[in-house]
Amino acid sequence: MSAFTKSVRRRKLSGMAKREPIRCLIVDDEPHARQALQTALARHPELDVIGLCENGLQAVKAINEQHPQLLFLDVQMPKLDGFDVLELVQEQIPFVIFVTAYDQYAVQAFEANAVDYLLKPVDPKRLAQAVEKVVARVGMEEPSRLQSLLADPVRERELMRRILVRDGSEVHVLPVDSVMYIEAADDYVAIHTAQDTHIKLDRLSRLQKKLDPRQFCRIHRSYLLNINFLSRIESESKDSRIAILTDKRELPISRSGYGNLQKLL
Amino acid sequence: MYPLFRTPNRLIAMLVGWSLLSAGLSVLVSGITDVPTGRGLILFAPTYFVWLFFLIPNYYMCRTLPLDKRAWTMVIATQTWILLALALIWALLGRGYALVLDSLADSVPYLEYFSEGLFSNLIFFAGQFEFFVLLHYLLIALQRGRDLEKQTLQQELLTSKAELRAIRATIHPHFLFNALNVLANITDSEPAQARNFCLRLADFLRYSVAYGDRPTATLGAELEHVQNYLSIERERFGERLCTDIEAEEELLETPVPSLMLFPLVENAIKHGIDSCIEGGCLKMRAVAGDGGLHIEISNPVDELGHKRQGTGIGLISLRQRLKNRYGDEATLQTCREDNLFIARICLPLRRASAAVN
Repeated sequence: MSAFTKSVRRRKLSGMAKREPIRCLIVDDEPHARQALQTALARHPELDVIGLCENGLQAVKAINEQHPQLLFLDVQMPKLDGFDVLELVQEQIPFVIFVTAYDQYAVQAFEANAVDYLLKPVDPKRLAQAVEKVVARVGMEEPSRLQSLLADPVRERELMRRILVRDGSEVHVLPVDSVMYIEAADDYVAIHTAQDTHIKLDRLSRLQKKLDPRQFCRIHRSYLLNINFLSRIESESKDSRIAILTDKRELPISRSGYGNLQKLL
Repeated sequence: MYPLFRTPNRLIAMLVGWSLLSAGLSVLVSGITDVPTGRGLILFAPTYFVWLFFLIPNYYMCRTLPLDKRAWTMVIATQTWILLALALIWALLGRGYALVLDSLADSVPYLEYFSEGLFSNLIFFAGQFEFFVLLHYLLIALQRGRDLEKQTLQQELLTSKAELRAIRATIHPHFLFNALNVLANITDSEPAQARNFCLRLADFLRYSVAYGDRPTATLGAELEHVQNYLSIERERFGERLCTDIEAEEELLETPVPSLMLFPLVENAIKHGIDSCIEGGCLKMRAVAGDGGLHIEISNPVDELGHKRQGTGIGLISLRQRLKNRYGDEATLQTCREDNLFIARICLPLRRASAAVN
């Protein structure tokens, strides 16, 4: 009996040792930080650094194309910060370790289901612990999805100035002022600007909460309108009204939507 | 100093006014007591005039007997005793004066006149005394209000000065974290560069500390300071940051407010270069023209590059410092031109050389 369990354990252990190294990506805007982390990770054969990214845009592209299992992610970066990157690739990344100079994001990071949170300069011992955690989790459990990021109260308190949309490897940063209206479509939203339309995996009600309520009005169950683009309102009958936008596009207004508009105007 | 005599104008007005009052009162009392008006003037007017100086010390008495701290019965009792004592002294002096006049002019009974007018005079004096007591307490209350206001203002000035100094000398802790982080990363790989980095960081900190208390530096020293700062940031930004700084040689010794350039350059990095994914070039030009020193700092900015906008405290405090020092002669303007953010400082050159503190 005991010999049997021993052999099983031994097989399991040897299996782990021979396992493919975990493919990881380092995302940091500072050249020294990338290099130092790469050097430090060279001492951990259980990890394989498959790429270095200088910013969030590169990271989204690399994640989309190379499908790493683990991300070493800096928080403060230009254009897209670490949390923005996660928002855009939430379903594609199994494990994340945040690496940042400040501890003010720690709570937010763990709410985003980060495996660990390392402070710069990175202490090699702490790095080893974090790597251990990842190794222990890989294969042992279903990778934690980064769902709770969406419900993060810290991020929802601030009004958005821009909306991030990913189209394959490409990221679009839309200023909210350029958004004419947002349309709900099943699990997606279609964000219409004067030039084009972007599809994003998100819910209208969630977006509405993060947009300025003085600028965006829910005129219909499926439509959130930027009132700066509202030209006039036409009523077809008592209960049916239509919003005419500045570029002549027409959107339906529901009864409660009309109430919302009246309150705002 | 007695408040009613504080300025020469007030002193003259007071003395002239009191002389007229004395003369008027003399005529009045002469009328009441059937003393010939001319004689009454000679006898009474000088004694009335002297009475003014009996009233003045009351001001100091009022100061030592503040109404809000002493019982009012005690105040009234004390003031009454003083009035009686002063009246007695005055009466004795007046009598002496009348005696002198009597001996000078044999035919006129000045002493008799004086005795006849004594009662009415004492009544008048008591009235005047009460009036002055009230007047003095009023003056004291006004003065105290003004002192309090002055103190508050002074306190506010001190606080705002301290705040300005604090903001001026502020080194953001994040900056130090970043610097330490760079240092930790390069000590192994590039020891020589790490050593150099330490030296520049030390120079940067030394300047920030030393000029936190000194209001004036030369333009050359200011430029060196921001160059140190930029060389530290360049380690962090790598190729994302390039700088292009030029200043006319003869301007380097020009005195300028210390730590004037740093907040602008720090802003340019934090809110400008760092918001652009590709980074960019920070340009600075210092030239002389129109009797002024013109400094222009420009940097690319990506408005959607950061989630948050800056607080603007750096610019506000710098603007305030320039205003305190140069009034309307110095300006700090900022503007956007396409993708560039531009800050322009203009200082008066001649005033700058006077090095106002």
